[in-house]
Amino acid sequence: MTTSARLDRITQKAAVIGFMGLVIMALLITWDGAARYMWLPRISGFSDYGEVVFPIVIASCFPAGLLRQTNVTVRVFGNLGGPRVHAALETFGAVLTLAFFGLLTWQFIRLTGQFEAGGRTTRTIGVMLAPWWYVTTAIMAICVPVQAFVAWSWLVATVKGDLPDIASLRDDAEELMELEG
Amino acid sequence: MLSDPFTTGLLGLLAMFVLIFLQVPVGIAMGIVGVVGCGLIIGFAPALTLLATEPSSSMASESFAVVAMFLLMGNLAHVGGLSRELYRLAHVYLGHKRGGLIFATIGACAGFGAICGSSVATAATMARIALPEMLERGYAKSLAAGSIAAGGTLGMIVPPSVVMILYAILTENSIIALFLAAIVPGLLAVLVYFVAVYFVVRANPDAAPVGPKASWRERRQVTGQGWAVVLLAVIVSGGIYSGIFTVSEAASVGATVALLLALFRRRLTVRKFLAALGDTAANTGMIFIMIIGASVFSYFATLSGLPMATVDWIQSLALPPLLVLCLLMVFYLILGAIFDTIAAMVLTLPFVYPLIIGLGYDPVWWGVINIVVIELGMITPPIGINVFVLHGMARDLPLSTIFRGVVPFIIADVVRLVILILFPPLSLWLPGVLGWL
Amino acid sequence: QAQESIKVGTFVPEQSTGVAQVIKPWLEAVQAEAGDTVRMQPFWGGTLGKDPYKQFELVQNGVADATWVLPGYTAGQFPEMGIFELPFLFRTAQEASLVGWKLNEMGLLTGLDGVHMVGFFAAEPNAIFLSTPVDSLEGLANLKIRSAGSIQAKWLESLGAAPQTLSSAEFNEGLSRGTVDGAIQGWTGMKTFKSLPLVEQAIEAPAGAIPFLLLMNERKWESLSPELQEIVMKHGGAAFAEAGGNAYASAGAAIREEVEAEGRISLMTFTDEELASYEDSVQPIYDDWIAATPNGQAVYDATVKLLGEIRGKD
Ligand code: NA
Ligand code: NA
Repeated sequence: MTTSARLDRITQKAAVIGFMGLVIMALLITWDGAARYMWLPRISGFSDYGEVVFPIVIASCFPAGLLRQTNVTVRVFGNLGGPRVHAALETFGAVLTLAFFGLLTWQFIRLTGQFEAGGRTTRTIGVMLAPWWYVTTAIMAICVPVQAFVAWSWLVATVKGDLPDIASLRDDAEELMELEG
Repeated sequence: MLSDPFTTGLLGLLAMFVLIFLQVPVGIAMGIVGVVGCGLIIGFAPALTLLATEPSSSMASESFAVVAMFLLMGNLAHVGGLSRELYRLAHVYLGHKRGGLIFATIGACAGFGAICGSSVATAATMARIALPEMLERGYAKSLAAGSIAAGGTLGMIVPPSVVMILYAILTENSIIALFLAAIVPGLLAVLVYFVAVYFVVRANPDAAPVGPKASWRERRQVTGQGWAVVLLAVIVSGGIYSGIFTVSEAASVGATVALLLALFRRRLTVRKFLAALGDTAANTGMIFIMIIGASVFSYFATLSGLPMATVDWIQSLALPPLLVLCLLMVFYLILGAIFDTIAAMVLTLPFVYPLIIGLGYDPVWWGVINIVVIELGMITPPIGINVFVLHGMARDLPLSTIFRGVVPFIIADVVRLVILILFPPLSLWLPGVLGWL
Repeated sequence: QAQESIKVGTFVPEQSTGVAQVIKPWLEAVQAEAGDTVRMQPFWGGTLGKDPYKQFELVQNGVADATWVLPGYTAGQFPEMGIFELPFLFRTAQEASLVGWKLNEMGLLTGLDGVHMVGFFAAEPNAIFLSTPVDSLEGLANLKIRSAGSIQAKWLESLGAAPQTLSSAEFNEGLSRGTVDGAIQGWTGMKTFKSLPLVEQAIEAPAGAIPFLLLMNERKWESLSPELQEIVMKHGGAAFAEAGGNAYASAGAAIREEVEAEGRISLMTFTDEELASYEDSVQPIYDDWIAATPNGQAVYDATVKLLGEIRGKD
């Protein structure tokens, strides 16, 4: 198995596990909404859970998206200029994306440190923020090596004038549409 | 440090477009320009911290999480087979008319739009279901594919709609008001598409052969199976508009019901479930990168004072508001030629929204207009996302063929846009009488 | 010497009580007295960051030089300020404001990492606003009530209600949808966030007084000349607390009067004896808070002593 395929498996798994969290939140929110009309016990400080869970859910899909390069990108010049120009532009975009996620991770570490130092908690039931945000930050940190791999792949492709393995990963994204009830 | 934030703002805007054309992802380009621009105005050490405070706000926000919930609902509905049932439902009632399958496709797109928040997902779903059937029955390829690409845009204008949610959050307007405002324009969209199809098939009968009429027995049977879609749409829309649920509850309840439907009707396998989650994750990630970039960028835009200065400048020209509006429409059509819907919206909001408000237009009405005009970009050449989706799913259909098929619908869209601009009550009446304005 | 500029941000608009009557007058007074040596730059209405929950980070990180921070929105950061949330303890905006500033002077308030406190003020004590009237505090059982923090939340739970911490905007949506039945909120807050049309009853149990802080980035503060520091604090500190307390007390009273005259919203009031007995009944909440807060006892004792002094004076 190639590195890109292996990375793809790992990041896809991470995204799917993260989004199980979304399903769980959907079930809990449904419960809380229904409880109002059925005099079932209410969950106190309900939105506190979302406040710490949603960031983890959202972050979990970033590594997969970066590897498959599903982020909205305008590829006009690359398509006009031929494979080498395309690869060079992709390299440029990938390097800036890498820089952006590097800075983002650094600042997330800093912010989480501030949360920890300040003893910050959620608003109603006092869940400590720092441990949850460390998980989110760790996922953001994983984006950095993943994106470094993307940038490196395109750099090599620019030199060779071909397409890297990761370029074909985007096509796998169509899987869902083939599956219906 | 640059002493003039205004100049910094202008250069920043320019730099952002340059980066985007150099194939930097739109969200990343916005984020980088935003943080560098803020750095020039308030200093780099504080500006860098915005890269954590701004994204962490959006990532922890329940309002933004609603986007992911609606995407999840649409995907679970799809793997639960609801999209196919919807198409069959439209099919048995409309299929025997000339161009019947086109009418059915558009009707099913609008129906699926009521349980799916995304345009691309609607187009992709219907491409799987309706395209093979139309081609088999001898429909013209261009018209068949074009109707799906255009019908897909109904996924975005018929509420719930992801881009509408983003508009509402970013401009601090009520999501419910936006949803209500889009109901009549959504119906109008179906109507003008029907009219367009009517004229096309009348002019060119070979493009759409007439098929057999479904028996009443078959109709009853299909209608009986279609209850699930109706149930889901009623729970979500009814729940929101009647005030039983908040928007985020409705999205969660919708996702839960879609999941239960798929489970109890034995249509959910582990593989399908995981695929639904994976697709939701991919689209959520795509949208959140743009949200994060836009949050930093709009911070910069506000700091630079460029939006307000632009508004003042345009107001000083004392142009008739309608003219400004027309210029904006042209601008958005050009933008839509190249940009994805959500990108076009988040990129322009910091500048265009204050202008629209400054001209005295209603923010909810503008939300509808803005979405309709941006949505047009999804089917216009050279880059129309929905057309690309169709091409991706049916590789033997050349892009030029699909773009040709889309033309009547583009004309219909322009007509609809003009109608909506000239008659604001079409959008504002419903939220108004229900007390949401 | 280059001119110093101080960027002051608030997430609420210029017309709101806290900006119009407290922070803006402070800013103008500093500007007038310091003259050309400083340029005070206001950023009202969130132009320097509009998320209410992020105001503390903005000033801590130096994005803004000074911001209006609600300690209730940064749970855990300012543990001692939880005392202002305790129900039935504070009875007026003036006494809460003054006590707050004095506690700060006594060095009893922690959590001010990387910031300097320019001013402390507090809103008039909260009331409980409900969309459907009840007969007594016991009627809150099983209702979903917006609280502004965890202590109020505990108190609500002790009454059998389900607390939920929401921002004022979220609260409005919740009220109109019926997902929340009411809120602990001040009169001025109800007016500022246009929540009054959504409620039918005000229970005037003094359920805590929301503290407000005007914080300055510490590095910025240290970079100011001693003369400028003195001017900033001359109009900040005790003067600021007094101005803030008075502003909220009179604004709150005016709104309450207006509501009473209109007669649509029913008012549930309590006699002094009833209030005293409620104060006794919430002692367990006080005890919990004291036990859970590192130097809770010292803060509580100081507060009670200060309150005695202030009330004795009147
Ligand atoms: Na929709
Ligand atoms: Na286009």
